[in-house]
Amino acid sequence: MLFGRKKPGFVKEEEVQGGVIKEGASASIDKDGVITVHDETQDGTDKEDLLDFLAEQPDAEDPYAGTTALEEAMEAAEEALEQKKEMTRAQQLAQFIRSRSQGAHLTAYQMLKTEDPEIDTLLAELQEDETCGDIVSVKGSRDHYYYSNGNMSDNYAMIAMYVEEKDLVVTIAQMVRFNCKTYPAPTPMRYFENHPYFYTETQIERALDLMKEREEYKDIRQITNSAGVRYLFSDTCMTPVYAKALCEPDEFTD
Amino acid sequence: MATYGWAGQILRINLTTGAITTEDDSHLQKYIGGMGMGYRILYDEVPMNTPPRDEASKFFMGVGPLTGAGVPCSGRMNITFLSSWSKGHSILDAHMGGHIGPQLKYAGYDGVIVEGKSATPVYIKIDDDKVSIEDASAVWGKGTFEANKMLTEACGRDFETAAIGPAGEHQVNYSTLNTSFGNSAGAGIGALMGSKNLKGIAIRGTGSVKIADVTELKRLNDYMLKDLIGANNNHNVPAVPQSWAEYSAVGGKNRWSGAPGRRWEKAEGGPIDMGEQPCGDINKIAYRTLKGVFDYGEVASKYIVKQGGCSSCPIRCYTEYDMDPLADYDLPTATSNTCMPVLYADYFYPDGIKDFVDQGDAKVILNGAGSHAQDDLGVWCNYGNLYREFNWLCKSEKIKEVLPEAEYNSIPWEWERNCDPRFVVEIMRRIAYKEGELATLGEGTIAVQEKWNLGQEWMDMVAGNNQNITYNGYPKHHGPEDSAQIGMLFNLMYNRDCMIHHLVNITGSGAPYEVSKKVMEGFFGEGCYDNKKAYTPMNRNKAKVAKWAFNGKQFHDSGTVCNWMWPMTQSPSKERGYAGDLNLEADFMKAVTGVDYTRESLEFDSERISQMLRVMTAISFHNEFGATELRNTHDAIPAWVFEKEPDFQAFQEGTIKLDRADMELAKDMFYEEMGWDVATGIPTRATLEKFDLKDMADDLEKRGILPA
Repeated sequence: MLFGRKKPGFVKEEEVQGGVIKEGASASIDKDGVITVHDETQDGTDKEDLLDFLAEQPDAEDPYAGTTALEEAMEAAEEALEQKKEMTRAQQLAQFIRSRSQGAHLTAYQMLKTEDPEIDTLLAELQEDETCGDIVSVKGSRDHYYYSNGNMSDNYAMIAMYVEEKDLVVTIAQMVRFNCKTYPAPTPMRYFENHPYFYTETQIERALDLMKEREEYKDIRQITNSAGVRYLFSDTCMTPVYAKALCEPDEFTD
Repeated sequence: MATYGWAGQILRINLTTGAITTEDDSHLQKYIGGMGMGYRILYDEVPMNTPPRDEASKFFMGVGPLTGAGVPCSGRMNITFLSSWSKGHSILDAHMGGHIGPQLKYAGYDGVIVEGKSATPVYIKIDDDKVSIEDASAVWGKGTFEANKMLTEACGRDFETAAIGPAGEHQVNYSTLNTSFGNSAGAGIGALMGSKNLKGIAIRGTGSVKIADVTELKRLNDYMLKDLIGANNNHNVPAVPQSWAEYSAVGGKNRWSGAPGRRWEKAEGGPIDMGEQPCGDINKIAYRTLKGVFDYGEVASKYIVKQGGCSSCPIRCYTEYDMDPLADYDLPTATSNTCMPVLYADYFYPDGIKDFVDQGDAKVILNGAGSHAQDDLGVWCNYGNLYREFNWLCKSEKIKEVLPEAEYNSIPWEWERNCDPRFVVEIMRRIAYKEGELATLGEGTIAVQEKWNLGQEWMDMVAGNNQNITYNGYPKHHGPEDSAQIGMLFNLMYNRDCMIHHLVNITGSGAPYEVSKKVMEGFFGEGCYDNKKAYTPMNRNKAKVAKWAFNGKQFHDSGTVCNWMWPMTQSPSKERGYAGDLNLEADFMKAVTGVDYTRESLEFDSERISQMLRVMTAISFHNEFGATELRNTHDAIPAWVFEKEPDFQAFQEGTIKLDRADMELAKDMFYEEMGWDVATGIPTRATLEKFDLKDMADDLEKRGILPA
């Protein structure tokens, strides 16, 4: 026998004999074909309610008591609280920024300033603190945004900054240029309907209309592929011929 | 003899005599398993001129040392037999995922040789070392779903089963073997089983795979899941931006399609959002692939119950749907498939498709109907040629010419015009039951070409969705459009579509070109990797990449591991520079088998299988056509590859057309890399002897086709 196969008890097979009535019982069949079993072996008392029966049973001992996930989480939270007490305020700020980054959020300077007028001092301390080296910022046109590059990528922080500033014209133009240059790839308009933009089709169309009116966006061009899907590309990074070719659907996929 | 990794024996089941025996397979372990063992066995036992469905024909259902060993994505099974439909009637393979391969291994076998022919319908029951041939007369005539259910009821819930459908029973060349879940092995295995009156197979294995170094296996598993694996096709960046990721696939068309806001809307207990799935978080890997959204867009979410998948695979690439609009047509609403059957049902509606409930849902619903019917009937599509040829037949109006008028008029065209999902079901049914002239489509591309006098020009034509990559009857499977000459080369090598995903997994990953290029050039040297639709002329490093992919596929079908996922060429890890680890297959082989595999030694063993494939292909082309070379016969390339996109010259930015002279140079370089004679494309004696295949060299010499 190979590898200890056929372990006894691994598969339990029970033979069920349908239609067999146990000894001491009888059955009758009525005109509708309904079978009634008359079991003389029962003592006639009502069957005990399952819930009542279970309620009478003593509580089972929990072999894993003290190690539940909830208790582990609580212990970890207490530990974190203790650590927090030992942190400097700058380190606490860094921790706050980290937790927001982990949730895919930037932390805006203006928001911090509103919360704490002394924030500049704290940020200066944070920059000097070696344990806070992961806290960096991205500059938008309206604000500075902090994030932990241990929890958030730099490119995503750039995207999140654009989303935060809510200037759809700038966001679309800059991301189209970035994608053309980096991948290189034309950007389908529906790209902006997904996370983390979640723009509506109407919003995108409005932004494109505004873009057409401004000289600084004249490099952003639209193209429609053979399947009717609309794309954007920057003609400073990609020729129209190549953009058109890259827009076309894959021949067959799987 | 049992060793680590291998079960150590194969089963032999003779359906004529009822004899069931086991054989030690130690002498076959140098062929790894699955495909490799299958090639050796068929070469030794089934002369290449055997009629594919003769009683003397056999098939080998094989797994490998990694199957069921706990290696990620190792739930595959390979079936080797002679082709009944492609030119040369040569050696080919069908492949399937699911759970039945590992069960075979747990039952204690590396494979099953099935030979002979039963007088009455039967199925094979393997219950560890109790193996029997059982009566299947009650199951014969059933669709695969019902048949698998009946086999499971007869054998027990802990059996894994696979069955052929009406297409297999009617010996339709395009026929499959299907599990109850929709995993299917194609290429005509259904018809071969049908010719042997073999309806299916049920397997229960209660054993295990013996592992040489359990600690190392666990370490490699953790390493792969944490640092290397991506999503389906090992795409290494998400389809939409995620906060931990530097890059995402801008086009949105990549298989890491799980994202915040995308849900399994019909999940039990309420919708489940896929959220973010950071690299390193192994508990969220299964949320990375939302295949339905990749296939159809967000509209699919409405009908998604969950993602399912194969044994030992964390990826879960099978979208499971509940499409209630199908109930209005009395069609099953529960459907699941991950491959071609679920993608191109709209090809059966040449007049166009109309949405059912929501904008863009027509493709979803029609494919739900089409894939369920195709799976239930056990019809194979030859990687879409079935769909393309029906579509071409209608659009070109050739259908009115080749079908008798009465048959043409019997087709419910109003269903086609109304976008009724029953239309695709009805066409599939006619093909599965071999009804009428239309059923020629199910006999294969060569049969269509010959019976309807379409000539070579039909395979050369640029129009009509023509994808025939050789003149042998099968289409490209990720070829020049993904990797120019490289893809073209490995598409030429088999006797069916190549099913190699080594390159498309990189080009389709969505990662920036410069990132992927750095990874590939790190492995294979400068110039080996072009940007999409911006190809450069052939060079030696491209030939090396083509060889790596070609031999690598043989390992995957012999190991067995999934070629949609392996090898781990790229990684989602920024810290790794997005580079994967090409040593990992050999590392797993070493941990599981205890044999001191290295990347080089494993590639050598895999190449042995490639050499056997080439020898058997040469013999069958010689048998059938008297061909003394493969370069201009088996490996000939249709004109459309060079003549498409007439506004472009080859190598211009924006085209995937190839250049004839450059492609001939590519063949030269590839043949040289493989140790084949450049003029004929046939392995030399020196090459075959290097791989311990002297008997095959002698055979070629005897036939007069061994290169001088």
